[in-house]
Amino acid sequence: MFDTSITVMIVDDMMTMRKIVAKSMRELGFANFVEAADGQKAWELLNSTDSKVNLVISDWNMPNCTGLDLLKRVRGDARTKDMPFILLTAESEQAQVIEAVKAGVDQYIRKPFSPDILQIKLNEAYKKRYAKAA
Amino acid sequence: MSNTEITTEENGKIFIIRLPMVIDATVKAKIEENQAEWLKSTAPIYVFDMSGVLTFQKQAYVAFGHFAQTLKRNDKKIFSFGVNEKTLRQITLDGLEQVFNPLKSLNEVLQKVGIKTKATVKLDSNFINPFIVSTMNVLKIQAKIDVTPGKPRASVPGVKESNTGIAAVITMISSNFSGNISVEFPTDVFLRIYEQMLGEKHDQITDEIKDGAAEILNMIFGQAKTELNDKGYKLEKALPTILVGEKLKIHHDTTSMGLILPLHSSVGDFHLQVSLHT
Repeated sequence: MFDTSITVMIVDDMMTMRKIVAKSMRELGFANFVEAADGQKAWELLNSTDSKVNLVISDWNMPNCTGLDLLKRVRGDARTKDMPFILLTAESEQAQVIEAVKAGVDQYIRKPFSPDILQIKLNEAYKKRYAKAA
Repeated sequence: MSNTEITTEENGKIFIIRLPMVIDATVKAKIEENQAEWLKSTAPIYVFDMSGVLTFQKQAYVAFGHFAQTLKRNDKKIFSFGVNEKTLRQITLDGLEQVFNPLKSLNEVLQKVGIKTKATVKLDSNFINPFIVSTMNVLKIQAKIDVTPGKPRASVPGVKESNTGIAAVITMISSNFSGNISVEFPTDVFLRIYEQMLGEKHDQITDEIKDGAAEILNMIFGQAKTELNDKGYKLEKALPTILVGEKLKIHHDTTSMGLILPLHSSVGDFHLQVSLHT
């Protein structure tokens, strides 16, 4: 399981959704968050020299670089390629899921979600990412 | 629609710019200010919804002309619909038909660009139920609010329910139909829903609150779309637009047939409205 002291980056163009994710994560014991309103800003933050982000939870549909594009950038860079990455989306059509898996997503969460669902997905992402590295 | 507020709505192929009652220097400035952002859309077709326009001041012409030229340079097309007779006469006499390319309805625009075909979809339970179920699901999971559906009734084209204070609207485009889906709330009901979602009490609608309404409809539509597309409806992705105000008026195409789906909850009643363009 993820250590709840890690820093989580929440990426979504809707402030309400960023608040919903943060609220759910707080219910699970997490307290350190960094927010970005689109994939481009998220990428800039991830690449800053003092970035302490350990997990990214990103919406799929955003202007200026979608969640999928952000994921591809993260997986394509040696410094961030092993970053645990979870995508959020309101839709879950098969083609979209396949695209996300091919790009290297750790988990895919369909909105709406409860803290319980989020916990399950976090555990699965942790297992996938760190069992892979072992 | 307020006097000067411009709203936009987008799906994969169409970018709709809804114009306010009065087009004046303020609107001219807003068009000039926002067009770069609007042009980022991948939609090849841009449409001015002029169904709410009562007055069009000539000082605003230049902004529309520049925007139309920029769209043409970017291989995009521009149309308008819902232009009233007075405005249509005015823009025709002033030689601006090719800037606006006015047509009677959104339906006609879609047919003109080859997106719309004859509607083969009915507003039956196969189509409606996914929206009801996803609304119940979204509010239960995200706000812990139980919702029960009421008895559907026909909507009156162009008329809003009198107690609607905030609405999120999506234009649905498919290869075999087009229409609108909106979720509409009295202001106090939506503020209570927002409080349950986020634990924050607000006493008026702010931009952040509007975000919340857009996100709720995004989730409702996303869930319903997945189920409907599995059944072959071929709905495309779409982004919600938010309409607010005590004198809120949601425009539906005048040839639409529609249904109001009342929904009851512990924080108050609200409704979905679904209409198909015929």
